[in-house]
Amino acid sequence: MKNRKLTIIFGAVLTVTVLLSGCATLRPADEGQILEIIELINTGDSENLFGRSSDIFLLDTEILYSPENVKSFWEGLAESGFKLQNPVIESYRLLLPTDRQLFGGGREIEIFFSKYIPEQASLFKIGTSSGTYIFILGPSDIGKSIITAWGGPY
Amino acid sequence: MKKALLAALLIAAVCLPAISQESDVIYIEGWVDLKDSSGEIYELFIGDRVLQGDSVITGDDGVAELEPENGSRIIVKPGTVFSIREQSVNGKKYPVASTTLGQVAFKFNRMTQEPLISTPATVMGVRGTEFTVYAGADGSSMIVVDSGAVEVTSAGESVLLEPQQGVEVSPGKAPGEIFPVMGKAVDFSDWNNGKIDSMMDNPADALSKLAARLDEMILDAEKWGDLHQQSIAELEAFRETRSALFEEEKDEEARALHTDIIRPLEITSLRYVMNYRYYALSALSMRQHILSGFYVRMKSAYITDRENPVYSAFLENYQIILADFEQRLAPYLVEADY
Repeated sequence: MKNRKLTIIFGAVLTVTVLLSGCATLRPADEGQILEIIELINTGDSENLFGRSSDIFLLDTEILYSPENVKSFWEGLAESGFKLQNPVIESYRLLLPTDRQLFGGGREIEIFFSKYIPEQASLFKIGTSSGTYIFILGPSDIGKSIITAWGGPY
Repeated sequence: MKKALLAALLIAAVCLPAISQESDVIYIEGWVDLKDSSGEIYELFIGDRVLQGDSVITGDDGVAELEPENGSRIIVKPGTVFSIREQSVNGKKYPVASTTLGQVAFKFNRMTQEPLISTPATVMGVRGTEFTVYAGADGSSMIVVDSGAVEVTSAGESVLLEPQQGVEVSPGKAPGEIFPVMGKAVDFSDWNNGKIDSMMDNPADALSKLAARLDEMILDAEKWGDLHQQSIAELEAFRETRSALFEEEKDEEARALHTDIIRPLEITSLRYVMNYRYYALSALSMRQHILSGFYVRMKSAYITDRENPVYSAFLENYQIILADFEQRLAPYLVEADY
């Protein structure tokens, strides 16, 4: 799977980076990361979006445990011609435990937040002409944050 | 129980000696993950063991071949969710191989006893056989026999499949007409895509059927859960009686009560737990893989047309189903299940 291959490649690059620099630290995702994701969405690049998605993905109130469903989501978006029109980063910050309420806040979501969200994950709110979208991105050490959750539009 | 059996939302094979509770992983290709009973997810490798309570999840390039202890084979094909659970049938504990979604081929050999194959949708009797189970995105299933024979029972009706024959079981229905399978193997992807197209053509109907089957699974969990609660109450009463007998120095009567009544009831009570857990986990698996998959398809298909009444109605009913699921099934699940 693309995701795994990317992970392997990233892992190899990371190893080299660590060896060269002597240290590497995870950094929360920043504006550049979300802009890359937006670009991938707006160009319908479902393959790269899938490659940059976490194995277990949160879509609104749904936890997608199967990679098939994650892939199906990105492919479906591309097929429908969906774009984030006139996107504006309304805000971004480190994720808080209470942010689970943005995804319905049920028992499953609570467990997802405790088990599957990486530390230093960031919450992005993206305003568009069709509503506000929420993304959770994991931290990055080599410039490619993983998308962990999509919410919206609201 | 049969009235509550579901038509192929989840294919579960209960095999007496043919499927043990542990299987060795003898071949892996592509992306294959294992979710263990504690809820942890790992990449699966050759040499690993799949245990009772584990689920094997394959990506679209993933294949896993499992070898139960007796030398049989279970081949988990791409895009599949496959689990090994436990169920008590007629008072006896059996491992259950469940295919929630996707395609699994079973090859049984060296059987010392005819295995019983059962599902929440169907019951299958197997006689030295090779067969494949297909579990579709809409909850339907198809069984195709390569060798031996399989008796498929659903909604109280049975059909006997012989080599090169197959049958489809629609959710909640009796098995369909037997069809011949000549030459080329059934293409799961084509079959499943047809199911998905039908779902998307009439999402309200498809969701209604899925909800009905999920409800049946939850009812089964509740039924066994209620029996468990009753058994707990009975056990408490019997234990009090036993204590009283000991206090009255009627040790022999107390020991007889323990041996003849309490111990068997404890075992029965544990089987009730096993069964409500079985149905609860089956319902959870259906919710996590079938219902979620449906949501994903609807969301991406209608994201540029969200005001469409078809989508609005779907969302409204979907939220009702989820709320009902969470409220009713929560008592039977633990955090590690998610």
